[in-house]
Amino acid sequence: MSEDTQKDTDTKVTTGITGLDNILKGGIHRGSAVLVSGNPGTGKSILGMQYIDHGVREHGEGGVYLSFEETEDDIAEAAVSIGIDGWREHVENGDIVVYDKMELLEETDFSSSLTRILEEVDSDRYSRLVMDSLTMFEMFFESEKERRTYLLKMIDILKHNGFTSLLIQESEAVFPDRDIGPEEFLTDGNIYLAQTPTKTGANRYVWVAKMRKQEIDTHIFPMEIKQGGINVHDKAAGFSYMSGEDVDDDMDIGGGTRRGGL
Amino acid sequence: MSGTTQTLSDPVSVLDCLGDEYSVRILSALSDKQMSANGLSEELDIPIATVYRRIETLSDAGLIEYEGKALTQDDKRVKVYRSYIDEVRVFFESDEPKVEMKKYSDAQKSIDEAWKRIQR
Repeated sequence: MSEDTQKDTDTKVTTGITGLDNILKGGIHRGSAVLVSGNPGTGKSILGMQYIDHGVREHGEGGVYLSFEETEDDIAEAAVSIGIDGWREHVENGDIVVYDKMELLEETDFSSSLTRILEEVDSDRYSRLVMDSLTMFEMFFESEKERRTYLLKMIDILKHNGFTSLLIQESEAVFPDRDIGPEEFLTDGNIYLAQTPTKTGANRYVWVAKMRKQEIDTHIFPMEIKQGGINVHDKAAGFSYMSGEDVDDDMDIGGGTRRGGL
Repeated sequence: MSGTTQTLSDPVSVLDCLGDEYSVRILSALSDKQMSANGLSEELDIPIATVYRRIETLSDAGLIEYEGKALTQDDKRVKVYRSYIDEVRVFFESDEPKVEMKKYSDAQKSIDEAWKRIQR
């Protein structure tokens, strides 16, 4: 823990993943809505669960976890399987509120769930939210214009209610060779997760490409998913999206700090 | 799931409403909040009897919805109405004009309401 951690807690929300918090220079700016994108299997949901669990355990901040993809049981099993042992207990005592696909995908229930969620977000007890996934949320809206309008309103509502949110997005193409969608610029920050296959499994990477109102390290960092969840290495990978084809095998790339755009 | 678009079987009644000055003003007033006949009459300065007639016509045309009863400041229970019309489109390509009406979906309503709460 750095010495300015304490003074940062008002403005920064730690993810609980030390390496990622270092990249973020202490955490995510409080009140931000951050897009987390990546292909299936890159660890997006795990990042979300760790973020929520960390808030409850270390900061007494309740979390709301919305999943259009899985049932409450699947989520709890996944959490426990990566070593988040307290998940079920937190859900039982209300520190974590889960809305699963059974509720959210019911056509008639979506709006009533949404109404309840929006009441939940009014409460001081909760200040962290994960939406898994934004892709599914957007399916409730007919046109591109509606999707943008309602994503912006949703972000506004969350922000106004003091939430710091991770909005998970399934991306189709492997980064960084992908199209930039409206989600990328409507959100306050973009975190990309990626994996490349190897003989023994996969090399995993995390890249924080944008984070409004704060300094970040824009290098690409290797990460692992193991017992305990995501572990981000503290040295950047030997390449960086920002430096293009200027690939350097030297792992010790320093610097790389920039101000997030406005 | 998303905003519902419907083609109207009786397009003329809707076009009638949209051609009426009072009805259009009532529609606008009800587009972002629920109101009672009295409230509409006061806010829009339209005689109460006219408001009642227009509410009936607008309801019949499916342009406004009865939302239930609400309490006024002096504790009276009054019927309140609301419009969820997002868009009305008229097509003239065939013999009969075709009218499509797009309403806000439930998801849109929920988010709109929450969003309005934070604007205050």
